[in-house]
Amino acid sequence: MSIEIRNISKTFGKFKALDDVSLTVDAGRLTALLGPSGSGKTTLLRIMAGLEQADRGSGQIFFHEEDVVDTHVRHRRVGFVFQHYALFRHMTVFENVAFGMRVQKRAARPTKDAIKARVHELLGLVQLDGLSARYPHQLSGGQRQRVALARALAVQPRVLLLDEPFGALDAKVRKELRTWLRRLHDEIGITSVFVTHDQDEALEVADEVVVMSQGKIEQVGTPDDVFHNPKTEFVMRFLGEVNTFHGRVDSGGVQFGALHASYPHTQRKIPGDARVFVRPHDVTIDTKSNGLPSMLAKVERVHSAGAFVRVVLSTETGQTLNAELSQERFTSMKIEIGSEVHIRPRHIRVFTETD
Amino acid sequence: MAFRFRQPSVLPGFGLTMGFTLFYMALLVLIPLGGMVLFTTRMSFDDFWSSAVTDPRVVAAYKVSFGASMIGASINAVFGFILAWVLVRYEFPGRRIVDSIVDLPFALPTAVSGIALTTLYAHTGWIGRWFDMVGIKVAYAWPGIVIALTLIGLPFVVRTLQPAMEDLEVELEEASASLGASRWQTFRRVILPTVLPALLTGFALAFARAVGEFGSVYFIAGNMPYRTEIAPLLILIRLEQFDYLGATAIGVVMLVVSFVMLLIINVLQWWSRRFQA
Repeated sequence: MSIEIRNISKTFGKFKALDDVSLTVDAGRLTALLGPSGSGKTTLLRIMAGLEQADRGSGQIFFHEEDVVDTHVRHRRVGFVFQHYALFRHMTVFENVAFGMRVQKRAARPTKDAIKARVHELLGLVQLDGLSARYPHQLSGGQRQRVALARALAVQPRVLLLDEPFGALDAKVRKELRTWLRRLHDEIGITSVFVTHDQDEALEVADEVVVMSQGKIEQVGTPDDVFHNPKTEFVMRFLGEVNTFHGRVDSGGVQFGALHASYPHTQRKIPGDARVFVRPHDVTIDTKSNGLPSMLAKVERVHSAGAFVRVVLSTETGQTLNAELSQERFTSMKIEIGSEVHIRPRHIRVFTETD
Repeated sequence: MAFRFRQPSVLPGFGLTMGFTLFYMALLVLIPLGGMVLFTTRMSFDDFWSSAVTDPRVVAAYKVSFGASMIGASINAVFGFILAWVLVRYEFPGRRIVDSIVDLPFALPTAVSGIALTTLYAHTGWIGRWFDMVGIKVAYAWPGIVIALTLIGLPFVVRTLQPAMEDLEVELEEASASLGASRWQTFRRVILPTVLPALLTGFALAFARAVGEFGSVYFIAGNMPYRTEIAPLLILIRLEQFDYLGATAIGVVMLVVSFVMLLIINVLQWWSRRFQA
């Protein structure tokens, strides 16, 4: 079922958590709401669920073509998964998952046997069928979150909403669980939205990423799209590490440091300030000049433990730069701390005041 | 896991602290109570039975004491729950003041609260006169005893429930609602069972305190034999008649009944905590 948000605003006191936000989530997709804390991503998710009310008179929320803005959370039929699981601690795993079915009105309530079958089916889906008699305190964090997911799915929700579902888990379990969530989603295909502040998580798991900042949506797109074609400076900075240069644009080009690059996006006649961004893996290091325009820099530190070697450099103007290169290239070049090197950005992104 | 007395620990002395615990318990609780039981063995069993178990006046007093205490503790369980909930969940002007007023029944000499309640609920009092108009007698009757015992038990329920309610995340209610539960279902199936152990503890404390209460009830009860006489008062009456053995016998019966009731509540509590680590 698709979700459509139209012009939703939310203020807490004087703080504008959401500022006239509109968004369409296509049916069957796994969408990530990505942003730093305070960007409004959780508020948006809670408004979709009906756990929070949008400001009076602001906007609409559609589930498929039904306006649900005035539908109480109880009747909205959403599956909601909380960061800290929110399992009922006096109930066993089985009772937790069965809860949503047991509280239904007598007429709509499945029979005892049907509930039992459904719970075991769901526990099988989240790979916890052997643990149905355990209490939540007897489970690990990852297991608890899977129980919470099974509990949310038990009521056959129209959409599945997850608020930082892996936020309380340690790094290793987190990685395992997000791959697992992706597979689970492919299996059941329910329209899902999850909130995260971890760009790796969003880029790895989601079909579509919604980048948010200060109560507004910055960009919506596939992981590839938002990573490679960031529309705003914020998205560029938020999705991975960047080196920033201050430069100036003129007609058709941009000048930063000793370098000049063509910049066809702008046809400005009047030169203006610009910021030039280079990702560390787009920085080429040469020990000798090969005739191409380059910038001089000194090697400050080298971190070679990892898949890539990270080199910290300082330019002539004292600016610190990060570069990333393969282990092979690093060994073949014999870069030493304190030596002078020539650097060239392979790929740049330029943002000016008007962008 | 094998049971071991010596468990490695940063703090010294299982031996020392355990020894101290036993000594302290013995000095304050076990020796006085044991002495009391021992003292009654000077009576013949028949005397003990007829003076402390079958004597109709004594039986009536037990009924008043334990009955009114039970009702008082039950009232506290309900309204103390609401009070604790409001104090924990809502932010309102004067919350801290209300919060500290809850402790007043702890601090007030019980005779003072007894006199205050009597003045208020007597048939000429501010509140009592309204009850009097509809023909209900509060002071010098059963309802008065219940009110006095409710008052002194209130802090126990509120103070034991508060920490348990502070641990109760709002997310639990939200999860329950998102799964389709009504407010009542959320209360009945999620909130109540989660705080039940604390509620039972509060109930037990309020009940125990009420059974032993004397001062406030003395003023409001009217102390009519067979009707509004509580067991502790009967003990006092026997002491005044120099019937020390008879007084002790009633004391022993109260001790046994209270112990059994607290034991039952403890078992219930243990059961309601089965889901905790």
